[in-house]
Amino acid sequence: MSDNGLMVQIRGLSKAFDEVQALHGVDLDVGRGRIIGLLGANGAGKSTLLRHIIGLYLPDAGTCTTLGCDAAKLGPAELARIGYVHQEGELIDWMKVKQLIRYVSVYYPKWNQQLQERCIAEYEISLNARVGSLSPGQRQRLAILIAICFEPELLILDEPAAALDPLARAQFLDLLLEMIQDQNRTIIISSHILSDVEKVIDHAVIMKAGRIITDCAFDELREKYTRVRLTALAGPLPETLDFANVLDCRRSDSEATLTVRGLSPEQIETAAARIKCQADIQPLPLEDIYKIVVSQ
Amino acid sequence: MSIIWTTWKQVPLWVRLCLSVSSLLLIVLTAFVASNGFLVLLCFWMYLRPFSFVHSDAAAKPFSFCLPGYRDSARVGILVDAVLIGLAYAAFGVRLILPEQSFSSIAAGRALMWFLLGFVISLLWAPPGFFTVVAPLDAVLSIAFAIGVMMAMWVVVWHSLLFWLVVALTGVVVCVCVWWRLRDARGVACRHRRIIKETMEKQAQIGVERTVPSWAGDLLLARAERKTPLGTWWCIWAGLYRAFGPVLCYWKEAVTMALVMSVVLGLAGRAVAEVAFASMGLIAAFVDPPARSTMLLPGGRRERHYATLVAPIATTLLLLVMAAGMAILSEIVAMRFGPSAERSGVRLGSAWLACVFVPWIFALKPCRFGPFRITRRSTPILLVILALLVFRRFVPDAQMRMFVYAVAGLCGWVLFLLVLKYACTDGCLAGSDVRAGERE
Repeated sequence: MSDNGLMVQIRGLSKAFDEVQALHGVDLDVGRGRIIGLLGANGAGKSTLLRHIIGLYLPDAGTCTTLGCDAAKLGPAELARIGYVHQEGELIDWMKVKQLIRYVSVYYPKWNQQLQERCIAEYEISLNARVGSLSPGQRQRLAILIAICFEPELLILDEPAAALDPLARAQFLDLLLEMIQDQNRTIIISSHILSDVEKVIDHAVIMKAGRIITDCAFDELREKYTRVRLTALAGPLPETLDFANVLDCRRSDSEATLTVRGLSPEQIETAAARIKCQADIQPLPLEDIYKIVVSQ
Repeated sequence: MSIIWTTWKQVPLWVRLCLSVSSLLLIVLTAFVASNGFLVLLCFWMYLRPFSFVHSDAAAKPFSFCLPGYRDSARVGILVDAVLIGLAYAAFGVRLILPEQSFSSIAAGRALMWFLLGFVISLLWAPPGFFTVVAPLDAVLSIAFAIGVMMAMWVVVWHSLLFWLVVALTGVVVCVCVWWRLRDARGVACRHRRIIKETMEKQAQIGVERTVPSWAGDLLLARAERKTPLGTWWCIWAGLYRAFGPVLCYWKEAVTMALVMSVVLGLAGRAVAEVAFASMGLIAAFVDPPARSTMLLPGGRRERHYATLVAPIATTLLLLVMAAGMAILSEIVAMRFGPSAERSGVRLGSAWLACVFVPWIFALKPCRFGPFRITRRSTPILLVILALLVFRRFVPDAQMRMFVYAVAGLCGWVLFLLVLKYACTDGCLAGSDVRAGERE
């Protein structure tokens, strides 16, 4: 790990594939023990960014430092501390599952046999099946297994649950929650299933068109965007609702639902009292926050 | 319209039987025609082609696809392709058993003109594989088949009424096709593009369908486990297991093929030796070096570089051992059964050709991520065989050929090292789908 305690440090990272500019001057710091949700639409540059972190891609400009080492020069010692599950689930098709597990485990001095057995049992992975004959969901489970059984310090999950059925997704989430208990483990998870992501992350990074547009603690993000349900205490609601930073407003005669930005609960309460309303403050789900951030 | 991609197992039994029997017959026939023996290997490879071309439906009811109302031109295109290839096989078969003197350059020229015309216009009819930039090599091969067809037709029917009948029929077919195509050119082109994309994608997915034998793990992985954890040799041994796995899945077939080839070499004479040994490079096409993979293992760029460098070296050694064994065995066969003129030990002297094209194949492997990524593994070596056949025709001096092969081998290594250095130090170690609009 680097001297400044960062697992990953990215500065001014740019990458183009032919005419397509995939990343534009991206800056990102990932501290130890963070669980980061990397969010963005298809084509936002999430996977490209993650592949730079593990050295699969080299930047056109800028730097990427992973575990204190230039990502392009990551050696076996550093890579043995990084787990990576990617959306395409590239595995070695001509091996049996047990052969693949053996092949991968050979690389790692620390291989958690108990965790392996647990994953095999929970995910119902058939050891004698040919990897190439597995369904996409089974492949994904196997990819997760081989990425976590050596207990990596930095776990990078690129759409890990995309091919999983709801049951397997729930199991994976439980496993992830368990892994989070280890304070030293850093996880970067990129996923479109935001309802899952919000259960585990403590930091959100939102990307759009190759740029990071939001990079903050998840709690901070949730406090920033709030949904307020106003109920008139006497009579109908006033014509004008005196609230600052309203992003969305849906109202009837006696009730209104506002989405507001940057207001503390006290400020909301005060404003509601002013117009003789009762305010019910609710946090926004990540999906709604994401939509707001991306649309701004 | 969906297209059912055909594998060997899906081809109807009678097609398989016919191809197998005729293939064997051809090999046996060729084996006893020493002067043309080098063609046997070309024929052998060409026999493999229809297994990836013949549509199962078309093979099951070929004539139905020629009936009016079947406007599914892609299927007809496949059938045409298959017929062309079938005729090419027949051509080479006949060519092999007829004496050299029966050919005349003038007549061949006429035949070439007629059938080249027919073939070029049949291309307009869009057989799959021709109108795609991703498989240019297949198109080259297919043109070679067309030349085979021309030769065959000339050999079989020249100086007879049948020849002119065939020409007339070809003309009619060509006219009908052109007319048909002009009527719905845009629609046909659109369908073809989709079908070609589908078929090529399915083709790319055809991979090794077996699993590696357990002894391979004991042999290679066990060695990795004995090395310093996460050291370079650790990665190299594990990388070798990964690289040679696809080959080891078919080790029984490889050994059987080597034995059969040894016998053919012994019987067919020295003319076969160069092509036979060079074609062993096909094995290299199945070796998967670990340079580019998104499956993250603790091997950095340096380790990937070394592991990928070791793969062709190991392949070269393996091929040299195999080729030497085959050469010795073929000499024994030649001494016992072959013509006396062939007992010269020339096969052993040609055994090194087995590894000449190995670096070239490895140098081209990274291109599988580029525009060539969905061409078949065997395509480069098939091209090499064709090139060798042409080369033999134009350079009859064996010493000169050997010199050129040696230079080609050295150039291949230089190219491979440059490509590898670029791939492992400056290149991306994973493909990108950004062009498809997926920035991620």
